[in-house]
Amino acid sequence: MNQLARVDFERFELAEGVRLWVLPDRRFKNVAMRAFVHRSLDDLATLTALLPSVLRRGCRRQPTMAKIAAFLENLYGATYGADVHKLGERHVLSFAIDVVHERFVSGSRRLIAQAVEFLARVMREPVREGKGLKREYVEGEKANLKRFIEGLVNDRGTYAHERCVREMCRGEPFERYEYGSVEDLPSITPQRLAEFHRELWETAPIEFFVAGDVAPERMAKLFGRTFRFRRRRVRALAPPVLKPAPPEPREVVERMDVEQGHLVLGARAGATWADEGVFAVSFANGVLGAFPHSKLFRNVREQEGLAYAASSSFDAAKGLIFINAGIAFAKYADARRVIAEQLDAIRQGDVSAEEMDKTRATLINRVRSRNDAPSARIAFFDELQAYDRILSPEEHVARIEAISKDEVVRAAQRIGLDTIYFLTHAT
Amino acid sequence: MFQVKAIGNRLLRERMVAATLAGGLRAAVFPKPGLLKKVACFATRYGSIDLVFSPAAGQPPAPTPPGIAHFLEHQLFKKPDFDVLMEFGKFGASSNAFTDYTTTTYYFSGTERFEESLDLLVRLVFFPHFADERVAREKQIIEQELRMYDDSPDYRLYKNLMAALYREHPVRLDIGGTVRTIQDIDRGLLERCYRRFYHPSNMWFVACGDLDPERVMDQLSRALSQGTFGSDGAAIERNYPVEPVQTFQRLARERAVVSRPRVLIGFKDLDLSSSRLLDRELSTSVLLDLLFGSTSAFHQTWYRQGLIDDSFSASYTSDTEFSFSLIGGETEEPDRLAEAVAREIRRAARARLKKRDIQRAVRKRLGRYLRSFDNPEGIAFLLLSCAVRGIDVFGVPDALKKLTVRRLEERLRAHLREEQAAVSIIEPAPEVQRPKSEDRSPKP
Repeated sequence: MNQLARVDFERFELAEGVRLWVLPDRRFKNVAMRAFVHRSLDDLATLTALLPSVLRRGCRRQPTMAKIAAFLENLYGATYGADVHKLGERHVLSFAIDVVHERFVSGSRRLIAQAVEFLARVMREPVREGKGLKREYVEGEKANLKRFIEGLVNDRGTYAHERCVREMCRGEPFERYEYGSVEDLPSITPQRLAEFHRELWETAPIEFFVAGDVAPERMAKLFGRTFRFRRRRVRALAPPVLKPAPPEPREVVERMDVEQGHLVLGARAGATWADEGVFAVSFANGVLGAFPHSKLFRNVREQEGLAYAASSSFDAAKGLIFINAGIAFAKYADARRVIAEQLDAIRQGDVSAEEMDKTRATLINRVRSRNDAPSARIAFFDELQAYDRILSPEEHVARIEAISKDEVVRAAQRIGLDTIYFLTHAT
Repeated sequence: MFQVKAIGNRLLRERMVAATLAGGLRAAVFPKPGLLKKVACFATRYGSIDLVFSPAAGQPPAPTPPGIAHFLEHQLFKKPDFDVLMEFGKFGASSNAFTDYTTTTYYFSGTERFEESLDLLVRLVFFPHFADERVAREKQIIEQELRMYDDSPDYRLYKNLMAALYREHPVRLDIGGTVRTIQDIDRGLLERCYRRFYHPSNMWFVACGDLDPERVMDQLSRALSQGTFGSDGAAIERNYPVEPVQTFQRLARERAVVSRPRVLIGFKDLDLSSSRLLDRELSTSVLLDLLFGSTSAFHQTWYRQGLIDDSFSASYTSDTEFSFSLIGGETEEPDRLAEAVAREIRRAARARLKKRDIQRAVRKRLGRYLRSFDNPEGIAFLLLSCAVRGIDVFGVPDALKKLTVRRLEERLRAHLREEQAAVSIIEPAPEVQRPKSEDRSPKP
């Protein structure tokens, strides 16, 4: 029997728009739990980014961070995190708990149940004050979020990437930074945050996941009993926006006191998870730059010695490809030229059988490897289900197997360079 | 032929098979039935601090340029007739390598074609090829790598701290060297270092995944029998200098393009021989948890007052030759945070640690330890990191249970000493403003 067919997510409807996906897998000592709260990426981005960090400060039972930390340490070092990320035109709040399976620690029953109960408390029962969330926590986390947003510049690579996104996606919801903007912060009140929290809880689609050595039916009962849902009509979410590239790419050059030039080329991929063509685009991205055997690494780094890092990545939720290289300032023109040549080569059919085979083998390896990493598999599955694409690893492998060179070439022809962003030294 | 032995742990419900193979290579295979991913790695006990050594038995020690171990790591991927990374691509596997202060590690991971990948890994590590032209081109690539790190304020903070904290020991130098020091590296030097340090007797092998240990060992022995090891495997004299109590500098301060200040406080540990490494690592780590971890009074107080945030952390790096603690994070007031840390250590030295806090910290570490045995790459790197430092990876649960208040208090007094501390601060450059941007796109 095929190893990949062995385990798959079992689905339970806990309430209107609330689902639980359980992946029973006996191989792991860890039990991973995730909750993804989906909403449209919109003007409330900063409020959305703020909420998880305020919820992290405390809940009714553990009203301080120190009490939460002590509780988790006693739960054999369970780890808990709350964050936000962009998923195409969606903004997703994520809550994550990992706990060691109780059968490995003698005399400790109910670790899993305690983790579920904790998740319910931190998601549902924030510390309140009057009609709002606790003011000290709201104000403290507003200050932290402000510093965090301003800190984007500290990581030059991420900064360059975000700047490219912003320039390329002007006027689209996707232009927003996932952590929002500093300008929105002053107007956020504890009461507004409490209302937002209640509204999300009643109307946002919520996907829960559990992966580990657990029985699906028992998990469904445990979640149903622990979370008592009272839901209103579930909010419909915005569909992804697919835009074509302009006839000529835009070029943006920014100057800063940096040690190295950071080059980011943003391209429109012409497909998201909603399109069947997505698998060919992903393949084309593999030939172009996803791997060390790809054209970018081989030519930009190994052949020309222009960069240490040179790669491309495909965001299939939004339908964008980003090409990155860290280069000497003076090599900007050379790097642009060599990178453009690689994409053109694929468009013109210059893809060898060997390149096809390696890319296929490596893409399949990536799908299968995810099977060993439940948290990565959960995150990937949540991304796919947001596009109503329920795809088992087995089916995914079959899609990759079926891609032909022609499809790769045609996919590359649809990839359009949109924005060239270069962060270079101050003159 | 070689003798295999099975080593295991009841709490973990795991076992691995270990053997010493031809040339003295210490090999271990950790089976993980049911996992699809398989990982194999070689590590040689050769890192950035191994700068002065005798090229061959009986010859006087000679210095080599900082960054050469890392350069050699890059160079081993260059072969005359094929490209290593392209070959791994054929098997769908991915391969990489990394160099730290003491060790260079090469590995691959993949779900299919393990045997072919393993043969390739052996060729990567044991069949070197040195050519002047490849060495010259690699200098350009490594220069960009070094500049990439230099662009990270947190990396600069760390690098400045190490250079301030240590006076003599080469752990004060950057692992990759500098753009200037790597210019002195040539083919002859690289060959000399390879011959000295890439002998099986100075190396370890670990594989993890759904594997048959004896088959892996057999294959490895056969593959190794075709390699040429260059040196005779004579013991390596490493000539590390003696590190004095005094630091090089008390304080290193730099301005950079950064949104807000950050501070890192380092304590060098000179009490390296009074206990076993595993005990030292665990007792110091738990001590730091108690003083500065997220359940500590320190963390609670200063987070609420906004002096620290999520970036604040405290950790211990331990080795046989050097060890140090790092405490710090982003803050509006770096000098005040450094002072608060120093005051907390003085306060703790006068107070008693609580047994209950230790028990909770031990529980946390035990759970995290158990959970770290789910992922083949994580397992392989953990095993190697323990093996090169002479630590029994299965000894962790027992060692954790043996920690006492007294032991932690001894560590506090022996290690967290003010005269062995240095502070590194990075502050925003005064002229930092929004970067200037210009739109050069053709106007429609």
